[in-house]
Amino acid sequence: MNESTTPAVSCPAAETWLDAISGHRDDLDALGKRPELRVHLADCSACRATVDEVRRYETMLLRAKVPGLAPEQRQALDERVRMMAAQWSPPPRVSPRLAWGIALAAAAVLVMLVARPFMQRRGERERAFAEQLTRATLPVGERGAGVATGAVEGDVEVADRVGQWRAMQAGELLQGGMRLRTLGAHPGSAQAVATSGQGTGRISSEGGRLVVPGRFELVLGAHTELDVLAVGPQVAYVRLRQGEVDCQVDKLRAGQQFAVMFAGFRASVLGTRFTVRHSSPEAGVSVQVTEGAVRVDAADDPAAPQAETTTTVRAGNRWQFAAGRMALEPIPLPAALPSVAVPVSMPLQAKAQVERPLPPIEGPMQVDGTWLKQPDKARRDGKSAAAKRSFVIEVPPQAMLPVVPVEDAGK
Amino acid sequence: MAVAQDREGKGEGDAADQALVLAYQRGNGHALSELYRRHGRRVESIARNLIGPSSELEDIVQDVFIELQRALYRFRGDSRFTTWLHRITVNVALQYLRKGRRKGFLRWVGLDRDTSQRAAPSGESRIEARDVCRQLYDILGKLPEKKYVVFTLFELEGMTLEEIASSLGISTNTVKSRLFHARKEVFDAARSRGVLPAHALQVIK
Repeated sequence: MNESTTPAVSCPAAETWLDAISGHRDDLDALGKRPELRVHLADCSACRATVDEVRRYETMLLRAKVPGLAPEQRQALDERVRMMAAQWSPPPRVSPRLAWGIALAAAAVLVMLVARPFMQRRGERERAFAEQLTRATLPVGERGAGVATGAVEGDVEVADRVGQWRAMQAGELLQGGMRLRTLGAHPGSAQAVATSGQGTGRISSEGGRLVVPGRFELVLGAHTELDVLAVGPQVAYVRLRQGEVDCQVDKLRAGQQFAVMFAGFRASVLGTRFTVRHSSPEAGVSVQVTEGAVRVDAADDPAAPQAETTTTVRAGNRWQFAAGRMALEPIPLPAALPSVAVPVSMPLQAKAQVERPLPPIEGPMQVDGTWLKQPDKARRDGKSAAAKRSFVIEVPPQAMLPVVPVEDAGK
Repeated sequence: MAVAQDREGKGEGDAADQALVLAYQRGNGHALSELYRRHGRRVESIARNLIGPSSELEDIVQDVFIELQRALYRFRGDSRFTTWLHRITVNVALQYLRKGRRKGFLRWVGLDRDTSQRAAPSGESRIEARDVCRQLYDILGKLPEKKYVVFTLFELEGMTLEEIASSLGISTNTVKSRLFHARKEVFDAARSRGVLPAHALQVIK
């Protein structure tokens, strides 16, 4: 057995030395100084061999010194670090304000990244809206030049091409391709309108009113949506998508047209004032005329030729179409005005305007404490100014009557 | 008494380091030169023992001070500057080692340039020392990185267990455990390879 190279394991004490190798160097020194072990070392060749290995191992570690830098290398390194320190100017420390700014910018970027899919979806919605609007309205070349609005009252909103709604302003140009709407309580809550032959045509206090001086006035009921198909000096076409619109059209000059498209029908103005309703599929659509006359026919295009079968609805009458049935009937009046006061259950936001025909009265007349001035024309026609006042009250829809097509009797 | 003086000296050294760091943070770039003058040799020693013989020692030391330059603004004096600097040195050296291990290149290139004072005086002893060093680092190269670092810092660099623990951010017991296993593995490997020197210095009295 070669004592210088082979570890001696025959002696249990040798393991003590080996364990000391793995421990702290002080442990090894302490072991070597213990008298009993020194005596044992003198007698045990195995332990002497092990201790010799340990000593040579320690020697190996002491000798294994990695060479350092040569003087010229160290000098070069000194110079490099010195230049680095001299040339480099420390940047200013980030101020708390700047740190907050950076943090906010990072947060904004993060939000943008998170919101990007939603924004893309929104962009898709906007594109879809624009396409829908394009399909719903006439081609650009047929939309007319537009007309300036004189007054806009209530909550009339207009959508741009991407579906962003904003409040419509008085004086704003009303153009084909626009979509108008009103918010507020759904008109279905205050269902149908009963009017006399004449009246102001006011529909709902929750809607809005849009006036084009010298041309027409549109009173939109609550929750109404309207596409402006074409508006110009000669034509004014709108499409009622939902809700209720009361149209008061000034006397048309030669060649002028005014039509409301709704649910596959067209209501063309022959007279001056009518109301078109398109609240829900169940309630159907209706046109009730308070002044003049309106011709109703089936058409998808406002400029389409007149259909073979048309219905002329005269003042005081209502045309209805629901559940495949068409009806023409006089606008029903309540039996007695006081009894048709707005029921409490009706969620009307304001007092409804009630219109009803009054018997002709000769001479001065007082209404609501005001003496009315009777125009000469009304006097000539044998009608008083009071007779032109009418009342509108909203009542639940009546049962549908059988279809009674009426040939164009207005002409 | 000596311990008290040593502590006092360390305290003064720490205060000087803190002042230099503060000066650097306020825009005095030359404070870095002074920090290098005070700690450059120790950084070089740690890096040298960690990476073994290498021609890139000069670059590594410079990298340590470049890293220090970047990090000086973050130093708030929560720990001793030297501990912090040693940690940077260990990290830079380990990055170098990992890079070298990935590339698999040999690092035994600087042994013939041994001009340190500890070099063996005679030519034969120098060759023997070079062989010992090469064989030792060959054995160390087989150790896991955690044991390797603890072993080299303790056995070759001569750092205390507490210094190693602070520099590596681990507990002293963890250092002891790693060192225990590392020493045993190195001893067994050296004995089995027959690379232990023929003669031993007087280590155990």
